[in-house]
Amino acid sequence: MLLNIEFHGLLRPIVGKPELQLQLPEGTVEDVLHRLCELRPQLAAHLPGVACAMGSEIVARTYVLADGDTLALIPPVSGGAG
Amino acid sequence: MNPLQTESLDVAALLEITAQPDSGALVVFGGTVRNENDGRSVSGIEYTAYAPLAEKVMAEIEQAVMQQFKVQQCRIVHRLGELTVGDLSVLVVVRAAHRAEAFTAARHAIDMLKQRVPIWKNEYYRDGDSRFLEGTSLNLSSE
Repeated sequence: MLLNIEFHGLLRPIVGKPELQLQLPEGTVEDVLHRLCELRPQLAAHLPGVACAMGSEIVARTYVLADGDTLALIPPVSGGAG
Repeated sequence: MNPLQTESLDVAALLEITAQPDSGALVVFGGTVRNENDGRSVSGIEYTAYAPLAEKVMAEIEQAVMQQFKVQQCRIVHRLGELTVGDLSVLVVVRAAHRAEAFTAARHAIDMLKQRVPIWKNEYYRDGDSRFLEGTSLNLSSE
């Protein structure tokens, strides 16, 4: 399956771009994160605090992805004011 | 009014769309870009968001605040893009019958925004450096 992966916040400068496409056999969010760590080892230290979302929903690491899905990687949030 | 905006936040417009005659209290909280953080001289902040989730969670916070604190209006808008020192980054408007619940509700709304809404600050310093500020994880399994 072909997946679109979006990177947000501090993950963007780590990966070097806002999104990439990933070809994987069938798998879960956890499988995607594992593969991303192989491709970009510097992501590994950040993944424990990263939430994953599809559209407006946060998905569990056990969520099974389908061909064409877009998965957003969301690091710890820091909006608002002082 | 879109909760995420790339143009300057319009306080007057937000007051106009939330006005109602049975309100006796109006609390407006505004967050602005400060010129210092952790001892470093700040020149600006770039705000980015994951809009699909951010817009949903901001609406949830508004509804939860209105129910929990029995206030009549709660609206939150956040600016995105490159802001300079002094620029308004976020606005919270609460209207209620009386002041006590209005103050409490506004405080709660901005605190919830900071903890739950996928928005990020990339802070720029006068020495040319920049860094993303640390924040709160939305990954429930990491707790």
